[in-house]
Amino acid sequence: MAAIQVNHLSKSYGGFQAVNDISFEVEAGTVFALLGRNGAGKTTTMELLTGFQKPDAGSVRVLGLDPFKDRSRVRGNVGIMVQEAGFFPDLTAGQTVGIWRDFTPAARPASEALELAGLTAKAKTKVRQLSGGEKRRLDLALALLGEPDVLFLDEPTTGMDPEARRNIWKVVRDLAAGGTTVLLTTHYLEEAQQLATNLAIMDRGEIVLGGDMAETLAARVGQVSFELPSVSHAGELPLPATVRGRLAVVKAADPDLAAQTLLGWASERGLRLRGLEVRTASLEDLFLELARNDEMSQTNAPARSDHGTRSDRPARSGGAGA
Amino acid sequence: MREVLAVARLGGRLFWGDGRAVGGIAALGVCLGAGLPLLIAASLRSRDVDVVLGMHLGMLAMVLTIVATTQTAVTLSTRREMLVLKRLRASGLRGRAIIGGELVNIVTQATLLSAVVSVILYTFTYLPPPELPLLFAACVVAVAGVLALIGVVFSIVTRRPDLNAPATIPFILATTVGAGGYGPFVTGLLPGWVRWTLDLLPTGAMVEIARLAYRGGELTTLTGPVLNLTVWALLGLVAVRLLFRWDPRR
Repeated sequence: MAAIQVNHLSKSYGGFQAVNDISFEVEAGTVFALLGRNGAGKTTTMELLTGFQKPDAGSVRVLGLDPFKDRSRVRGNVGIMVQEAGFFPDLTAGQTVGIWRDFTPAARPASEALELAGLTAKAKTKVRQLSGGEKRRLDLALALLGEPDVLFLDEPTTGMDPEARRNIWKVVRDLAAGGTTVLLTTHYLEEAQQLATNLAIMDRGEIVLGGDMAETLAARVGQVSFELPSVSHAGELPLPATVRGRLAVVKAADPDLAAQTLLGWASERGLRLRGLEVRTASLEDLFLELARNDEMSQTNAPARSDHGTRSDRPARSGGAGA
Repeated sequence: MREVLAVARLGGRLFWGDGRAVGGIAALGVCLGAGLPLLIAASLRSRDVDVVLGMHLGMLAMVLTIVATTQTAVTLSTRREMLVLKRLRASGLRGRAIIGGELVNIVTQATLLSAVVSVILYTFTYLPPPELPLLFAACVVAVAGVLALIGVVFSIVTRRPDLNAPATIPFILATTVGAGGYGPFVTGLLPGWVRWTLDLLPTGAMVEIARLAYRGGELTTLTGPVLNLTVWALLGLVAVRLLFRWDPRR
């Protein structure tokens, strides 16, 4: 069952089309990553999904309800970690969570929310004295107070140190394992790859690629790179390779198999493949590839042509790929 | 209602926990509200209760405008600019609960301050307490509510949050002059049409209702002032409903 359904959603500000006819679904209990460069439309999409903004066209359903029209009913079951929102600087973290409990029906204990966000030690620290990462954690504590069925996380770990980031990842994983649906935006591609089962990549308000994370990455090639032995040249290699200087790069759908083939070839000839590196496709590679494609299409055609997955192919989480 | 009270408690906690804000507002309010009437009462040989009452109500209008209108405008625009209003909305609170809670908090402050000012005058001057104290209390609460609603409108129409307090100064002057806060001599100098216009302000209605509360009389004579406050409240509510912004202007 889809916890979040987005159909042909559009939003513009004046002449700027922030979100342009996007569609996707997020299955209950899954983590969905909404990715894209700055200005891609992620935050506007998030604001439409959380009912802060009214769509110009299309529809959004969160737990079967319209988040704009049925805002109060939706918000009761939703936790929102917004990218930009302030706190009362003179309250402590503990006081802030305590006060927010008054606003939240059936709220979990303040100590539990602080612990989940890793802020127990900072409970008595004034908000103005918290670091940027600690404020994000306080934001998470507030979002988790109502034990939400759906959690919206807009750049959840921005400003956090690596350890805090990994702790938050664990919290998100545990929540998803417990049945919470999570939609997150992030600039950290590793984070999306670690947490999300499904993704949609946005660019200029449109979804340019989406679907199951594993399937999407599996469809991309990995690579094997190594220093070409001085006695060999690229034409002798058993697999097609590009060579820059002495560095040979072999692209392959299965980079492990390619590495085995290359090592076998080297062994037969008594050669060593120095600096051998095997890399499966990562989200970062995919992201950079999309960015390169976009730049090329811009260079080649001022009126940009479509590429990849567009809104006529909705991204979908929880099994069915794009 | 639970949400409104929760927001009001939050506002109260923030206000009363801020020593400088409490000191500033309370000291200013008491000095303005009680100081001038005390001086006038002390200087009058004739013990003219009407003059002291006029000064009391005029200065009360000024204090209520500062506490309710200016403070609401500044508080809301600051919270909007700090994105705290957005955070409150993200918590699931309804918009009317957030604004309503802020108004309840401000009206409570204004009412408490009015009570302190009034008790000081009853204690240290020959001004007697009102004959209809409940009517006086209801009048203060109602006027503070309307003035706070006007403060919400100021927070909408003033484009820069740092200009909110200065933007309310002409309104403070108008309500004070209209309510007789500068004394009967200044009021007497005003052209008739200016006095008539100033009487249309909510503080004009306050003076009429409060005078009746102090002196007693027929409540049926209050139709005009009550209508005045109702119209201002409706105008404020419509403006807030149509124009209120949760996010800062970018």
